[in-house]
Amino acid sequence: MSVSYWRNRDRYFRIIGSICNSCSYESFPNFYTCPNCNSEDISDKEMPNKGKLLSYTLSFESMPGFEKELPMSIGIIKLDNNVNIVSQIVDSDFEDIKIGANVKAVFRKILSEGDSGQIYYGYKFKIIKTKK
Amino acid sequence: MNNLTIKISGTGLTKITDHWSKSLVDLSVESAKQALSESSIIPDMIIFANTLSSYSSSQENLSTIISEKLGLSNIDSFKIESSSCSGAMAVNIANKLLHSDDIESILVIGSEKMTDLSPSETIKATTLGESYEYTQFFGITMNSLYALFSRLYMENYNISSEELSNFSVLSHNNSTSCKHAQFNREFSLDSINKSSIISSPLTMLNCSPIGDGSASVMLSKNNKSNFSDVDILSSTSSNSSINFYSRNNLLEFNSTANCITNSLEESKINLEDIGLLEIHDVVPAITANIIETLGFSKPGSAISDVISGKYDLNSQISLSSSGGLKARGNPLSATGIYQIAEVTRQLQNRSHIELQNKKIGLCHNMSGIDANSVIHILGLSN
Repeated sequence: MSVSYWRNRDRYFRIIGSICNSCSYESFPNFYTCPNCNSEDISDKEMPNKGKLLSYTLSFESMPGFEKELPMSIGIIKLDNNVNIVSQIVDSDFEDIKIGANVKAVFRKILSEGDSGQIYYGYKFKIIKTKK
Repeated sequence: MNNLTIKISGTGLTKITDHWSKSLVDLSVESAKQALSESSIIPDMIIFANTLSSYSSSQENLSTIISEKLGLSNIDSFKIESSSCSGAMAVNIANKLLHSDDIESILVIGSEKMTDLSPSETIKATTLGESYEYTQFFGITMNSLYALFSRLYMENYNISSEELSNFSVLSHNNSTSCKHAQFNREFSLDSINKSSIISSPLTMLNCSPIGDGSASVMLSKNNKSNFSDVDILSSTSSNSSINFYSRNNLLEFNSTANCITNSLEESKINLEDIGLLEIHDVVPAITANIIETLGFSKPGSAISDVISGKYDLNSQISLSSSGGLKARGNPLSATGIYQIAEVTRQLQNRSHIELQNKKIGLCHNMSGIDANSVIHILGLSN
């Protein structure tokens, strides 16, 4: 995993997707040909770090290495630029995880390779609690 | 396509279960030998459909290994991989090759060995068809993606997960006497809804199970078998984006929609002519959305149609007559070939249950959440 992680680290740390320089279409993950206008004039673009939840789940099954994350909250987030992203939801009470809830990106450990192996970091999201 | 009609000249199926004592090759040979003996044809080519062999069996080049075990050397053989629709995709490719080449017959074998893996490895295995860098890396599983889709569907149509579980009830009712099905028992709506949560709102008995299995079909230009001729009336495939959550409309199944439009045009039949329906019924909300995309039910009404009996075994259109992915089982790359073999046998009146007046069946197999879809329409020859 380490080489693929090294290659993508900037995308994982700052949520870097793509923008089409012809029609301003944005998406995450990155793309090479614009799905909207077929232009190949594409640049990297950092995505906004805030959005709203479109859907959510509480998962009780894990991939190898994610056992300690269970139960794991996961959501589809519509970012403030209308780009959708899927992510783990952390640091939030499950009762606050609702469709339409405001969320923001946080920098977190994703996985570590055993007790002494490499640690992988990236984005997760948390609920922004509205003040009563 | 030219006017040539490709026929299904033989079928073979293993039971879907935990085959601890059989390897991927053992299972493949078992189903292939059945299809070979039914057809009495020596194939010109073998296409092997599989998606997990590198991960679960540390083996590739399997089409060659299986050919050798079957005693079929000096023929063309290769593998097709398209995640969980590898099986139907292999039949689609075989059909195209038979239409365009001087090949007379192709044996298509779809097999999957899933139970040699640990539970967490199995969860990773079922997610290998999704983006490694943006889904697997973050620990997001296939069932979680199905769950995210399910909640979107439920919210959009104001339907509860408890109602949607009626799909699982129907699947299990249909497979009780099907010998090759993984489950031969019924489950009540209550027991399905009260089974443990896998990924909310999905319960364990909403999700298709893990099992080993192999299915084979012999495709040929000239049927030599003792059974009635079953023709491939159409074979279509289409793809969409891999990350369903990135799409403009998260409930639109564009690849399935393209396939059904092209299938009806190619087969020159109407939806009302279809009596048997096998779809990629992997979890209830996906099942509902497929049925609605195909046009059998109006948007949001598939589950009320199921409850009213529209898709029961003895209705005009029977859904998942062998149990579908939920109860027959879902050994990924074999699944699409199980569907085709089951519909073939059903049309020939040699299935586990006799259904009256079934002349045409539709099989729909897909990878991911409509990332890739394949539809076959099969019919008894006139």
